[in-house]
Amino acid sequence: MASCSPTTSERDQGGSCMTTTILTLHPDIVETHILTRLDGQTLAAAACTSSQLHSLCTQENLWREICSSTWPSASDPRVQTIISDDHRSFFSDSFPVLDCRQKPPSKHTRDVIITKELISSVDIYYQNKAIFSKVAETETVTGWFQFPPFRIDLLDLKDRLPTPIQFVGETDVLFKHLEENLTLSWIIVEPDRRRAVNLSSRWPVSVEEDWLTHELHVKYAVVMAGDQRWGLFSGRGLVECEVMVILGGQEVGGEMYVKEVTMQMKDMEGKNLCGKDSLVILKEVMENGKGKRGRKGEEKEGYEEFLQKKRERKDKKERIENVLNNVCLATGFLLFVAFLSIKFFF
Amino acid sequence: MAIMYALKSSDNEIFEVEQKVIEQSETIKKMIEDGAATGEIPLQVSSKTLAKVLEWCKQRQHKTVENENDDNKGKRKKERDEDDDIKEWENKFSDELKADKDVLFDLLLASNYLDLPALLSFLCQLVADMVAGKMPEEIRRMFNIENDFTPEEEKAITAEHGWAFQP
Repeated sequence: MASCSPTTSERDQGGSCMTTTILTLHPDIVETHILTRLDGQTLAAAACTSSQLHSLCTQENLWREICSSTWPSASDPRVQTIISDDHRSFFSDSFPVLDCRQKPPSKHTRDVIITKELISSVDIYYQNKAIFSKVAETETVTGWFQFPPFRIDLLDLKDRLPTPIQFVGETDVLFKHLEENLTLSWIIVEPDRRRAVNLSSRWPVSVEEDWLTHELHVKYAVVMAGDQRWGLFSGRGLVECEVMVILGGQEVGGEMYVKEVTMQMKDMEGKNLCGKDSLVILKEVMENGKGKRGRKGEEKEGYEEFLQKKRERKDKKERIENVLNNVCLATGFLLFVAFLSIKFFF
Repeated sequence: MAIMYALKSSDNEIFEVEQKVIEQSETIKKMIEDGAATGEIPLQVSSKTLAKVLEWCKQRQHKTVENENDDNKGKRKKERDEDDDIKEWENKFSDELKADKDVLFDLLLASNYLDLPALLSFLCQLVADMVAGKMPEEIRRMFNIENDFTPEEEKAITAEHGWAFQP
């Protein structure tokens, strides 16, 4: 580190510092003017450069500011009480895109109920501006949650949430526009252990039009390693956590509205997981899920791989079923022939 | 006739500057108001850096004067052209600074010392943009930061923050 003094007035004339470092600046300048302009990822990277920058970059107020500007919903008192004064861990838990597809399945402890409730802290952004933020609690103890399919609904049936999205007649254009501009963050917080995880792919993995209602289904999904106890025939080798945003309002030139925002868990056959099974997977993800720097398009590619796997699995299953059918038929036929020949000869 | 002041850099070079230009610096403005600015004003800023500071101040001054002289007619178009000009000038200014980081940091310190908030925030944004999205190693190289972590510390810190930069 350069050994020159940090203030101009005390410095040698003519800038005699041989090496200029960012820290020869007044620490105040670095702290109040530069670090406050960095995003979370850069700040985390800067914290890894040296011990002095580490102590500057890990200050709570910086991370509080970053959290509240990244997720307006995280300013909700219910979320704030859980984060309390560790916004940095909350950010590093919640910001990275989840990557737990490759993870080898571990022994799931199915009986452990991990938490009394889950808190969803959700933000939807259009062109990087938050257009919807909501915090919702989901109790996880009663049979109402545990046995039916896992599903969190953020809007009531009658809710129509206005958006600035202009409806365009050409579906290709509209779909592409939505894929690029409508992003979503769904942080699930577990209050008891103060862990958080983001279960959204940020950018949509697909946009489709419902053939009947013509509403648009914008889907965000992360694929996770599931429960592989049932081996080859298990449809739970991989599971997807699906967040669906349904958009209505098909008037050309008019603005669209959000009708539904839901989260569900589905296995490879598209069957819904029940609340209890979903909790087991969520627990796994919160404990062992790894985060990565998300990039636009990456999740979509990953999701397409998952769809491909789903198709392969379906084909394989069908092939096995065909073989089994043929074996059954052949056995039946042989038995029949044997029976006839026994009758014929004796 | 505009009032001129003589600024003396730390390496004893004299710069003759109009009062209006130099008054952007709150530090100097206060010195002038207090009547402390008689004769040469000595500053703890090297001549190379001071030249840059004055380049910035003159550009800003130029902009405000032109705005005052404008009448409303055609102002919008002119403003747009001007914005483009200023953008271009700022880009050139920041490219020069990016190429010579010593000047950039000296200038940052000088803008703080001379109390030039606009320049300070411009430069801080420039530094922030330079760092954005970089890996720790790149940041170290960019700013000559020495890695003073022990291997154990570094391992722990990378495990904690690695999500931000590991692929």
